[in-house]
Amino acid sequence: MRFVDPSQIKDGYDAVVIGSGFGSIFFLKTFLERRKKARVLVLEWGPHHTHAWQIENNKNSDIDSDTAAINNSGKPWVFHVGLGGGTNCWWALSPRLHPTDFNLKTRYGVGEDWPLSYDDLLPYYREAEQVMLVAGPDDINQEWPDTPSYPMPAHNFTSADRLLKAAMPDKHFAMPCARLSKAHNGRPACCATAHCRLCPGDSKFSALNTMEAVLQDPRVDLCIGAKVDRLDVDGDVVRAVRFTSGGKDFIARGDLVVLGANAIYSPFILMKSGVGGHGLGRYLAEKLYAHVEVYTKDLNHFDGGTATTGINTSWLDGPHRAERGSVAVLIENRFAYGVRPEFGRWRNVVPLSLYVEDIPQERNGISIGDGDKPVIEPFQFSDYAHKSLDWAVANLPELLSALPVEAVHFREIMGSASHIQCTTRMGTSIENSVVDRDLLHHSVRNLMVVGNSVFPTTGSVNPSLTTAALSMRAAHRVTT
Amino acid sequence: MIGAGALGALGVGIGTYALTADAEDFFARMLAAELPGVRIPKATLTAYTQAALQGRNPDFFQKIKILAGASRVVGYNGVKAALKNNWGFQLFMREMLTDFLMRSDFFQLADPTQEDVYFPPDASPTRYCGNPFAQFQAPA
Repeated sequence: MRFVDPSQIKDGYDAVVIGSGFGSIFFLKTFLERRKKARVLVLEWGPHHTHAWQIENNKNSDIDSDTAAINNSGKPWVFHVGLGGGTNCWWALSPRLHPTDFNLKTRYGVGEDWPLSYDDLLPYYREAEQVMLVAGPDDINQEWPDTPSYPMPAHNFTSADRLLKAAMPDKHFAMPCARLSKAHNGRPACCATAHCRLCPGDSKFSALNTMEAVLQDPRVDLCIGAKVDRLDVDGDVVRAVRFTSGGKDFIARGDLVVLGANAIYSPFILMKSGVGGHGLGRYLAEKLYAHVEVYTKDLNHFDGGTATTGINTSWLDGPHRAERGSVAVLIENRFAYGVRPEFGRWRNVVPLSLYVEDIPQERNGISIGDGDKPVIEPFQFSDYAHKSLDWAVANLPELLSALPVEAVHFREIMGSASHIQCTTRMGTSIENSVVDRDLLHHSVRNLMVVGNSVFPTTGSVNPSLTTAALSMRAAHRVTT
Repeated sequence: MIGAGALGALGVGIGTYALTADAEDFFARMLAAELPGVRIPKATLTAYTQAALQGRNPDFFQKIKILAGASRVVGYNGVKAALKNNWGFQLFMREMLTDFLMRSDFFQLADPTQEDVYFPPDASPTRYCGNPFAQFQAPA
């Protein structure tokens, strides 16, 4: 990798990319493939910590998301700062958004429509799945149309999944995930430890283990420890990126500026730069993420091949979304709360994760405070999300009737799903959004924003694959 | 003459010993109650206790100290009965039990009431390291 000291940075980059997580790294991959003579500068606030360092130190980064912002929200917001961003700490669950997630407003009268469709993203979904070597089933077309064979076979189901699959063949699937199901290129298959944040074998996709060609490309200068403060914007053009490193101020310039900090820092930087657009820094959202334990009469669990084995799609879509949201039900093959405590019945428990869609609320957001750190304002999930969760928990016994259910125990709403979204939404105009369908700012046309922040709505499933696909599409469009 | 530094070190040593003894005492009672009849030799208990205490914060030690004291008075089952509706305790107990079951050779033994359970003294600090039930191929 070409690490550069900030004092060595020259002018004349084709692109300055801020951040190196999903949004940035997938943009960079496609951009470099299509612009053979491009020179790119990556400004990354966090450190470069190898996989070995992360395992040794039992953490992904030495910058703590708890202290990286002033959090008055009443809940945690978990993100990763470091080379590779969230690709280091994610759990690698990689479903596509549901096709109907893209036009929620038109279909159900709630939320917003996206300015592009599932079909617009299809080629990029496929490409991102190939890059990440997603393991998935061969029958998921029923729910996500035009999914070709995944590059890796699906991970093995648990016994509970098999019962649910037999009862609901069109609604229960192996969970697509970017953990290897077969050894590949020196990386072992997933060993189901469920320590995915610090994947012991490095079988989970990360920028560091799969994007070497991008990070080591001689056309890419990597500047680590570079914290972007703001952009110098002159009319409809970004002229410079101002950042600090080692306590000193620096400037970088490029024809295109690609902002992929995260959904808290990207709007913070834009607000400090005087860049506008409806909803900038507002609509801060995450899905509502809850844990449930299903005690079974005699079914032994934990016999699947990875940490999350199944996704039940029964409640992903339907007319109910006018009143309550999409809910993804995930079968967890990990000891979320440990074994069941009764002697000999240790495995008679099936942990579930419920991912519940929320409608982003304008009242939730961030502000710039004194300009040093973003201030996350008091946050509330919507009634829509709470209603969805209540309904889902009440109806789980019926959904799971193929299992020998003894009792369903709602455990808790988790603090954060680490899916921070919607603070620089994309839309059709500056009156309803910050960026357009190609992720370019509506008025500052050499400014692109990538990452989860551009989602207009959350959907219920994991966002990272969609973020990657959006970035690849945006890079394709900007180089066409 | 014993210097202040040495006395301080001795104090720290005694404090650590007392905490470890508290923890081992509590875990002995807990495992005896949760795994009745299972053969858990002293060396296994000691290795487990040391592993269980690795990397814990002060709150954990305080919790152990209180639980150890209470279980000496009313027994582990008395503590468990008193805290039967306390989710924090239930979670703690399940975590500790799972930690023991997963990191020892419990599930590899044909009958742990007839054979000693072994807990490796150099167990990884990563808790729940591995899922002994994981199957990577669908059943034939």
